[in-house]
Amino acid sequence: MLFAKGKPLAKLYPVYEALDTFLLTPGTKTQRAPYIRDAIDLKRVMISVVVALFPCIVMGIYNTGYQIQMASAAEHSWATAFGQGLQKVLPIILVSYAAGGFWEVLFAVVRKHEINEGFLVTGILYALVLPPTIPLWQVAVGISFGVVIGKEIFGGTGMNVLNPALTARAFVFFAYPAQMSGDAVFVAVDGFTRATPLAVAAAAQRGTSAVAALHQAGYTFQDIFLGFIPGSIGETSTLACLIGLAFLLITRVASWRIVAGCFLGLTAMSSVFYFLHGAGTLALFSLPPHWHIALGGFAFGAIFMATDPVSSSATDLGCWIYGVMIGLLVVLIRVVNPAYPEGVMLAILFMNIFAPLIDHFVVRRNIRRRITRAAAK
Amino acid sequence: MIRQRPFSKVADPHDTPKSIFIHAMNTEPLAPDLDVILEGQQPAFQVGLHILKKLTDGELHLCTSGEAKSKTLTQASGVQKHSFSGPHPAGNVSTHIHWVDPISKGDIVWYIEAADVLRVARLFLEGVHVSNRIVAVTGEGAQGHHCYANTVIGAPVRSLLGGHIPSGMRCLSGSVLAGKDVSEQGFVRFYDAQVTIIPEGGKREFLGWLSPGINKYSFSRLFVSSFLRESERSLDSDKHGSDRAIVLNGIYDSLVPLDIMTYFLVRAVLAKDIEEAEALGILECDGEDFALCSFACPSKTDIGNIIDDGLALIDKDE
Repeated sequence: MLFAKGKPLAKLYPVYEALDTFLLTPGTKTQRAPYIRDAIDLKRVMISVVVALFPCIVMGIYNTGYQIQMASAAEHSWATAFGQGLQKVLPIILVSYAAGGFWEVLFAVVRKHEINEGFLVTGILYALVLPPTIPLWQVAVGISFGVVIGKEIFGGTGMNVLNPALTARAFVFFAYPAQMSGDAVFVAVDGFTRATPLAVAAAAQRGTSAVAALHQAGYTFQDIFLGFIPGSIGETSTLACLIGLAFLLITRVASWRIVAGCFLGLTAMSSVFYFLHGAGTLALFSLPPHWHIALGGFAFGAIFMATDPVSSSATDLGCWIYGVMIGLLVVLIRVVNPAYPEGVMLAILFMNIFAPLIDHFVVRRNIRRRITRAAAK
Repeated sequence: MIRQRPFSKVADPHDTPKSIFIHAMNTEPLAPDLDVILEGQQPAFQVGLHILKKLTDGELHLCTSGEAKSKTLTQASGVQKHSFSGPHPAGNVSTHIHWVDPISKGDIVWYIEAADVLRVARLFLEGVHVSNRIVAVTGEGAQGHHCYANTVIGAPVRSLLGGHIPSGMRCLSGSVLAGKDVSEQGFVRFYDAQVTIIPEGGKREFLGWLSPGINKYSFSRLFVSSFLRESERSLDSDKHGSDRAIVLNGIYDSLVPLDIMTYFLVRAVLAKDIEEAEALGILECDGEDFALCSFACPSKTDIGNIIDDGLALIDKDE
């Protein structure tokens, strides 16, 4: 066989193996107990996350085209909108997979292990949190940083401390701020500027109602919930995210505790600000919790990014604390921090760092229970 | 015949255990029914219990299933009786010890199979070491030979299947979860009371990981079969996937009835951190307690094997 040890293409065995097991199940047999195994494998788990993302992908492509049509005052047509969106989004997705995939293959070949499926999810997640106008070379640079620094140097799939897709986005966000934020990047029409809802709410005058400011700028709650607003490709539609959540919960792939914690933390913190809003406070204080849920990348981040099983908490109690803290931080950054209109990416990355510490204290509780039990005798 | 915990090795007669457990419940797949094995053996069983009681200053615990019907078990006297119910691993020794008299560092507990209690009794009553064992012949590959065989300890597997085993079968001494592949020419292991013959896997399915999976068996909810009514399925030795790093770790703890944080214990063992592993309760376990975790893990991690290696490391250091 061409790829066997000692043969000329032996180095490229991981590539052969990836294609081989993509087409056919590996057919390996158990060598020790237990001799029977569950039919589940990691490929299927990863693909189910991608399936859960389909509503966001479809909605994101359509919305990108729809925003183009709205901005150029062109005649509205479903098919054209979808086609225009596809024209913008498909290259981004392909470059994301190609560039990231290149690094995955390189590390697999050098380290002599199989190419892991985790990248199937990272590739699409990263593409969906970018603005549609981003230059393709920045897409490639970002995902390269995310895959290499965010994942591979730690040992690859299953070993990363941070969410690789978010690490990639954070890198392009800080390295190329002009192409990643601001009013000009979220609608894919040259020269067209429109402030995103969060930017509108952040810029509203002190003491006024943020909701009123949003209505004035032409944003209704329905538009925001359904996702027909400018924003990063896949995160605008809260409804699409919730459909994906339903799939992830039914199949028990995502931790419901993390998602519940995020929603709880966000609701709690935004309620505190809402309670405190008045004549002298920032307009953002007056944004009710359900607007916070629908706006920006919160739904997408809480459902698809925070629930990454490797970078989040590994204990049940830890998941609750981790989720609640993310929700709290998202609102804090959105409302009180003047530098960033959106806080989801930063909140999740911050809590990724703290997840092991939270787990440490939960594990100590288990250990202390054992010591108490031993001492009681 | 008498083993000790921790480490599941043969007990040292110079030790004094804090208690002794009679293992009279087996929830492994297709395990023999103890009601059949202990049928009509009440007098001998009582003698055995009486003898074993003298080996410890602590209690003698008889752990049975809540559904046990044999008078040998239900009317046993001179022991503390405990009844357990539920799915596997409710019948494991670790489960019983954990819920009745948990092990801390420095404790030693002895355990013995209920069938071997009879052997102890007959040694004292008749002065003979009785070397017969009732072995259950189970599994899809043993069609036509399913029975309880009254045979000798260490019998050849072939002899239990009429001298001939169909091709393409895996011959296991013990159950599919905790047994060992002894091959067609092998023998039933000393402590095993069943043989399981399962079909060999290895069929390569086109785009198998995408298939709806009406006939697949899984603890997860990612197959159509997970939403259909339970039905009998043929399980073979296919691994159903390649080895990967652990990614989903929320599934382990629901499959282990001990108060043990499996994922963290595995991490401690892989890092060879003995103190952490002991603090997390490795001394209460045996590899067989994590068989269901290894079964259900999508990354095909051999958790039981990792734990056994950890225990061997600790045992070697002591």
